[in-house]
Amino acid sequence: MTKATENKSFISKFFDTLGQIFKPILPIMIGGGLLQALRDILLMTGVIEKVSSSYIFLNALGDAVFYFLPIYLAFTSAKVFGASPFMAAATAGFLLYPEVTKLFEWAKNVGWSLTLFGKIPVTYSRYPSSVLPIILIVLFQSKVEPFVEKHSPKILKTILVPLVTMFITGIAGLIIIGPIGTWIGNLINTLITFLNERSAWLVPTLMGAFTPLLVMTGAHYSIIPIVAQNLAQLGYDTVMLPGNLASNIALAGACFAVAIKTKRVNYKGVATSAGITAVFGISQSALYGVAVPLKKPLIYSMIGGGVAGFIAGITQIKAYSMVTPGLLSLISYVSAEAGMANLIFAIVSALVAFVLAFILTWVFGFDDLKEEDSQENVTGE
Amino acid sequence: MKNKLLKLIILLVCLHIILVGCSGQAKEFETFTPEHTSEVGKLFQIDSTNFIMINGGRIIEDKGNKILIVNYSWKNEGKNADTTFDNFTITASQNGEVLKPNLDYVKDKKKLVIAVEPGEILEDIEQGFILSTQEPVTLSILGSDSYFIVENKPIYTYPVKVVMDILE
Repeated sequence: MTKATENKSFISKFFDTLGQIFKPILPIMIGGGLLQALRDILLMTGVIEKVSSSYIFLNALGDAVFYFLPIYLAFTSAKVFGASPFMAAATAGFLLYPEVTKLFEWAKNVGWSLTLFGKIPVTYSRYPSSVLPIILIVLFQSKVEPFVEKHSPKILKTILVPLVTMFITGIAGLIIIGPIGTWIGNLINTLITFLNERSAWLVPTLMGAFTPLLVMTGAHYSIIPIVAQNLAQLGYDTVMLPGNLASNIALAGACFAVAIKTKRVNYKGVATSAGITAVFGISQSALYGVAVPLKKPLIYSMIGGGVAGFIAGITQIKAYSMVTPGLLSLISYVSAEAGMANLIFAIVSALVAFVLAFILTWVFGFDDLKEEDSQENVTGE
Repeated sequence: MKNKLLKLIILLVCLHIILVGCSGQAKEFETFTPEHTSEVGKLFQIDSTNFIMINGGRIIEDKGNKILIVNYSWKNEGKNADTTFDNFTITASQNGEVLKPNLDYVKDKKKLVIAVEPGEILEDIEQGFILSTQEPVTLSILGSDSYFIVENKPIYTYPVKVVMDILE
């Protein structure tokens, strides 16, 4: 095997792993995001007040998804790495335990050096809403658990395996792996903040243009940790979700132009339904059913997505929750603190993506599919 | 299917009415809500059970840094013996920038974690903060209540702020 092939397989394996970890929890992240948007809409329309138990309950309903994210990630990571999901969730629960969180916060504020057994230093980390620490900890658990299982006497396995695994994983997580994960997370955050401050347009432009290629390689799931990290640490995302929105809506624009312009009657239906699903953020049918087979609409949608991503970047629009990037996700740009301008710029960006991709496809056209090809390309996700 | 759903909704509504009926009359409830600001040398309440008095401060030079050592007293009016850790947090800032803590020069660090009996006062507790300018320091003292209840509504807690002038 060549080095290039090895690298490629490692990268593709890495993306696959991230995808497998995040895919099962996407529904609750979307649900939590929409609940947060609903909370803000109710607040802005005066249905609930900020000083009320209703606000506290509604806020917690959506926020709990993100606050306890490490527990869900522990569960899915354990399934991916072949560790015990409940032991992994228990370790995540330990790191999120209110007294532990409070102790870390207090020590940070006061300057107290935390130790374990009076000797081993414990580095400050904040685990609620965190992403990377728990994934690394569960990866470690997946190595410890089989080792303990193998070396425990059969009669004591039910006692020793959970005891030793949870003890070693919990302590190693607390003093080494957790802080390393936090450090890497902070590094990514610093990098994104740096890019955001120096050239805010760059990442949304790239995301707007190249998201179709990420989807084709399956790498789009690998950006979810970055979005989750941004939402957890900053409370919003400016780099990934706005670019994704631009890309999906541009694909929709290209699909509708194809639907109108194609001479193949049966393909009109395919392109229309692909366009509708892309409008709602599901881009696979548009991509595999229209953009990739026709090639030119893919390029036009990448141009439209890139320009719209650029607009999203320079206007610094912020997505406040994780919603599938499509028409419905506009709700995630509504925030009591950001004001209406944020939503308006998000709509402008989506409109530019749609109109530009539509016009380019309409004006410059595409090579229509042959009759037999157009019948084969009725694909879903 | 629709019938089942309707029955379930009716059942839930009935259960809710029964639960509300059995839970008794709602009472008007208020907790202590502290003043937003206080002063050096004055004993003030920060939440339902804790009183603080900022006694003053001293400045120590360390490797080019100036460290403000804040001296304060804490009165535990709770029902149990407790530590500062469980009851309040003091942070410091200058011009809105949170100052980095430093405990290297405090007299007795253990005072931050020893238990104080109910009704007793722990004096001469110290915390240090690395100063960034010569501007006055704002101390923020946050108590342990999760919410303050005002006119039967829960509001998020807030710290009591005390401004300390650090110029000689």
